[in-house]
Amino acid sequence: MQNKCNNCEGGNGFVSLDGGWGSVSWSCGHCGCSNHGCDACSNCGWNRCGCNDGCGAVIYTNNRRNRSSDCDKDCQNGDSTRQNRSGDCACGNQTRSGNSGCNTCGTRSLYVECCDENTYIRDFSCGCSSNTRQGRSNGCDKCDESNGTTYTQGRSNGCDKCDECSGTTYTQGRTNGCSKCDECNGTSYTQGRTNGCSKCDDDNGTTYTQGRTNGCDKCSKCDDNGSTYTRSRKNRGVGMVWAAEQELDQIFESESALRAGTLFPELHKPMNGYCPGDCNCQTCEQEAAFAAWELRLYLNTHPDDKQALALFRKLCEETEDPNYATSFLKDMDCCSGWNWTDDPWPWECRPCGK
Amino acid sequence: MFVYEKKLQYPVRITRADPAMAARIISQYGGPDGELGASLRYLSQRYSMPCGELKGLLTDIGVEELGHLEIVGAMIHQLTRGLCCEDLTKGGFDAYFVDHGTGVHPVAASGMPYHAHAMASKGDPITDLHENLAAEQKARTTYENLLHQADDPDVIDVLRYLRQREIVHYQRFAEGLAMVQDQLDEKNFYAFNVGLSLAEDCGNNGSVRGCGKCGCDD
Repeated sequence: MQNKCNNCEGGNGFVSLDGGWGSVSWSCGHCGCSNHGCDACSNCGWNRCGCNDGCGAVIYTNNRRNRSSDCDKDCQNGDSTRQNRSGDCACGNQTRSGNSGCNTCGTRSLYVECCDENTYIRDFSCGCSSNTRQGRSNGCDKCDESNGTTYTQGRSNGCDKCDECSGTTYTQGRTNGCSKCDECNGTSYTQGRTNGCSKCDDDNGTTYTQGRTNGCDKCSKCDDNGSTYTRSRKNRGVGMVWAAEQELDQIFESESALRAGTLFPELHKPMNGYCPGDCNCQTCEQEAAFAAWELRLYLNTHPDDKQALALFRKLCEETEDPNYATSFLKDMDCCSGWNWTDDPWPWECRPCGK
Repeated sequence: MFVYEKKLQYPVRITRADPAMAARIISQYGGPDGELGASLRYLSQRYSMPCGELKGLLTDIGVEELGHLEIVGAMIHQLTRGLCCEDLTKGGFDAYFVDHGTGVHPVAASGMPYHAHAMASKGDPITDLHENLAAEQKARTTYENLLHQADDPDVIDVLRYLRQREIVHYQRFAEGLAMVQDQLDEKNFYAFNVGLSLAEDCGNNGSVRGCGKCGCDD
């Protein structure tokens, strides 16, 4: 791109650029200018930077993009460049306010469309580090807290807040875990909540509603009319296992338990044709010790089962084998619950309780 | 640490020697689904479990499997006592006898030595508990296979007892798995590994080595 200029000194009609702008060479009205890379200012007709060429005593930027009637005016004190020219830049680290196009915020090269907190009007001032646009038509993902209604769901900025004003159950399906259960009216909680808030209703003694996704199907209580517990949870996650419930009121006597291989009839699943024999070669200590061991495994996964704990203590007393009884009783605190499983474990070297 | 109680969990009183049966039962000593593998698996998995209930459960079941290993060893020992010379050439036992005599050595019935390929300790509690569920079922099936090949009531009685214990262990691991999943976000149980102890800035919600009790509300 070579613009002929009229008053070029040196006679060659061009000023060749030094540095930065490659092989673009300019001719200008005042040759000899060593600044380079200026776009032509149509008003001026000059294409030389750094010269006072009648466009005003300003220094032109090197990367003009808009060649409208005005020259790209550079911010005098900053290194930022203007992209939209509709006003003056506030230079340096400051950013332009108002709705014109200063597009630098410190090191940013594009301004962020920020939301004004109250009006959601886009504020092009830079430095709005929060409240970035998410794609809303009002340009501002912010939850509306003023009228107490529930917030629009499906927002991607985590702004779903639940409505606490009305005391009703919260709208479900929120993605920010905001579904809270209604505790006000004493009914059972709405099911299907995704934040693990479905609690079973303890008040009326009915069986708990099944099909909950948060593992809340506990069927430790019978219906008052004696029906059996419903067992099949529908939403139990992917690849998860359902474990059978065991009733401590139904356990085998110690002497049959050892022979059967378990204390719990629910777990006694003999292979067809192979039943416990009549061998009487076990000792009483072995039988009580086995029953205590079975309960120990049960208590590891049911540490709050008081009935099991009481039975365990009783069996330990029946076990007269000094080796067995003392090692178990040492593990137990006679006043509180099953503490065998308490942290820390020896390989952890952590302070107790954490 | 480990304490030994000088008794078997279930009595083993085998009066009739049967080396061919011993050569089959040896699989529960040193085979891929045997008691040695089971105890090593559970005792190894303890360290990456997120809560005390699981650490206790794995410790106790791992210890019980060592007790079962002892029972199986006792069976091998009793089945190969007082052998007549012609027994030593009986199919199934003759090869074992060449290398081990009537000693007890951890191999499978196939002769494959015990190896850790058959066990997994993956450091993820969900994975490890599923591994354990599978392990217990494999052990149960192996005992059933052995029961189909046994004819001595004294042998059958012990095998039947050991098989039943595997079923109980299966149930306990299922309960343990239910405990872990109650701790996690039911929309995605795999969102993070509760047993993985990472520095806080590595993600994984920081260190999530449990609150000490499974099912706590924190």
